[in-house]
Amino acid sequence: MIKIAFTGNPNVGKSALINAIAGSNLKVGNWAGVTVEKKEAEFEYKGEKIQCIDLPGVYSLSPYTLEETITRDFIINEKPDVIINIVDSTNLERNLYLTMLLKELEKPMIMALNFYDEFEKLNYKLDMKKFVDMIEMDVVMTSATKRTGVQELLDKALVIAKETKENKKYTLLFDKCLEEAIGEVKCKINCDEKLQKASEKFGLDFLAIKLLEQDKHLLEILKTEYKYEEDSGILKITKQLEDDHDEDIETIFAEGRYGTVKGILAKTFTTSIKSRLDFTDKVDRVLLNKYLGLPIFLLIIVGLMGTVFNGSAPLIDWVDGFVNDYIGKYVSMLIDENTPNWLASLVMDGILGGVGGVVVFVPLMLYLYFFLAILEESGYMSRVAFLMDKIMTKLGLNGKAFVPMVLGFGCTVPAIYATRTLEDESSRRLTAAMAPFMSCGARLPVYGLFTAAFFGAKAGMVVMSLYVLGIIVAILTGLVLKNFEMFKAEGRALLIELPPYRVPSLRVIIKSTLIRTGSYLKKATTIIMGMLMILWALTYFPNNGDTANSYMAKFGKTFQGVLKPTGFADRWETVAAIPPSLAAKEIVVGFMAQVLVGDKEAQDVEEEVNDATTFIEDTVGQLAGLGVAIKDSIVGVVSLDVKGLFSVPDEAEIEEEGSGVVAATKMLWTDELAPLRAYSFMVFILLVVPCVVTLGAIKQEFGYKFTGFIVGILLVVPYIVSTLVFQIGKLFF
Amino acid sequence: MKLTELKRGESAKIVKIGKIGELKKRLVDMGVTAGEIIKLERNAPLGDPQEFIVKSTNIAIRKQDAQNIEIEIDG
Repeated sequence: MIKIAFTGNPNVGKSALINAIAGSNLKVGNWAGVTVEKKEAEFEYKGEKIQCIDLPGVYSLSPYTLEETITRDFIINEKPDVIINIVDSTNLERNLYLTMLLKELEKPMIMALNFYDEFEKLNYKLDMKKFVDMIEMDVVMTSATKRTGVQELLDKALVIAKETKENKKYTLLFDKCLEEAIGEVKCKINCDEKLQKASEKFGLDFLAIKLLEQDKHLLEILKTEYKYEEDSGILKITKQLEDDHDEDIETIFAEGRYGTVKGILAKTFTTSIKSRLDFTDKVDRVLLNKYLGLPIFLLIIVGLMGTVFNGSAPLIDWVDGFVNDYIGKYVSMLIDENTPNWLASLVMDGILGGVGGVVVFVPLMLYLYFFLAILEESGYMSRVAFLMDKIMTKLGLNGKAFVPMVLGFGCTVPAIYATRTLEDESSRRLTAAMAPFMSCGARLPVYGLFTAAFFGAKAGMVVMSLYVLGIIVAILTGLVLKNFEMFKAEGRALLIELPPYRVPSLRVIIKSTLIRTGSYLKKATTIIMGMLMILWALTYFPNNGDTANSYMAKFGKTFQGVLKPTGFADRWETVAAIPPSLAAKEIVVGFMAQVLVGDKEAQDVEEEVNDATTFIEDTVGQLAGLGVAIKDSIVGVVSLDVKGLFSVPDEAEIEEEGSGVVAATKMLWTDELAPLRAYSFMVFILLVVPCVVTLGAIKQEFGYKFTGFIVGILLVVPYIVSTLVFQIGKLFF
Repeated sequence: MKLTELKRGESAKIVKIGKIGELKKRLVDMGVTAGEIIKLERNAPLGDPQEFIVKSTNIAIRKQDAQNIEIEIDG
């Protein structure tokens, strides 16, 4: 098997190129233990088994960022047979810096000069023969969008991989005093048994340079794995260099590498009067304009919300109907009078309900990933960080975190997945910990029920206050958490590239949308289904569907004492409604209908299937429904109406869940503190674990341990806040 | 003078980057090295951060960090 590693700066068209090479074989996952996305593919090409690995986009191989250590460790430990270094040909000077660093690793390499079509349009000239000589590796001109040079690149990479079995030596072309220093350290390495052993793994050049640079990541490995103790002799050479240059050692080497790049380009490259930034400059004059920048950004966000939620809503309804009415109808035919009740309920409510619970999110995922990819690939996402930095940094967050936070008002699940767009691990974690407090759409029916029952005309204001409370709690949580190690953004200063705007390739965007949605289905289904089944079982047993006497009810009665300070727990029904609300918040309404009104009718009506239609009629009906849903979806995207996302269902809509539920809820509490108790309950529902799908998303992105931690926060915080609301509120009643 | 003193649209030569730890290394890796020409492209609408062009690359950093970069305007 031939292992090919793709490296390059961010924004050099790496994913488009890999897409063009690996096609449909690409898979996404995460690098072990971290949330950095890892793309890889295995396929056969000309009778050869090939493995492609996409290394994170990096500017350097320093030990300071996660992406850079991943790239570096992978190349050293996994020994790819060939490295494809993808270079933005319109910005050679900056890009070749990484090439110099890669050459120090002494691995077989080939260079892809990407965006070559743009290079030609700009009238830049490169003396290819000389360039190849000086850069010491094969060079292929590519354009992933036009799909030129792609096959040539792969063919040549394979040849290099097969030819070069040993490490490859490159000339590094540092200036004299650096060369001398490197030479001296090499001598020391050859005299030291431990270092000599290490040099077999790391390569002599790399080891010598990193020893001189006092690279903390490498020194750590040398200490633990090779029992190496720091050599004062090398330290002395470093010190001498620093004194001579009046600079720190890393900068000296960096300037050395830039010097080499400049030298090569001076002999091979001719620029023109055109600038690669002309177009970007024009666009940014508007998009980053002092007065227009923020309004346009808000418009884009409204557009994003509108598309993701309004666009997916009709399709979600269709998927829901498809699973429950269409598949449900034919599954239910398998159930006859001899089927025990529990088995029927397990199949219909447990399994089918679980499947439905997972797949209804697919349209949402598709829309989310599609538009996030457009924002990212076009280069606008970096501008979001630029525009919002001043506000978000106060919370210890990256400017880009604004996007997931806003998405949270629609649904927490896409908010969690959108944290992927943030650069560093701690920001991703912190954002994921805060996003669930943004009041999502599924909480609205609960607000609808309880405000209708207890607040009448003041309902609007009450709901508004809940949104505000959610934001405040999120901010406070963020301010507290950012002091903890796990969330500390390492006090990181902002340094981002605002890449040139490029029209994103539709092919790349569609593919990444499909891959990411697929990985949701693969990675999150098990845990979501599992949790939904448990919830079903707890509400069903032990009395065969009699919710009021289920384990859930028992749970409610047991925990009443613990939750007493919150004020709503004097009724077991509210406490018992909390666990089922984890399936989806709106379930609280149906649950109340069942336990308060004893109303099973509402549900039964839904389950009554129309036997009169035939299979073909049903199928045609579903397909027609899909057509309508797609049409409505497009209308939803275009309409840009996001008000609907925040509108509370009125009493009539709530009564559809079970007639009399509002009146029955009104009877929950009759004392003078009743509105306060209701408010405390809504606060609890606002802040408690949103739903199992959110947990599935957090698990997929951050792993089990972090999910457990978040669950803890999402139980403790609502408890504290509800208690505060009730206890303080009581003083004013 | 300090990089923050640069006016919009003005260019200057980078003289030295102060000791600002890890950020210095990242700046250098992105091409912000002594001797390079740096241009202030614009401030963010809220005033901070600032966008610069170095080595035909647009980068953004905060004012508090730009303060540690020393520049000189030729002639």
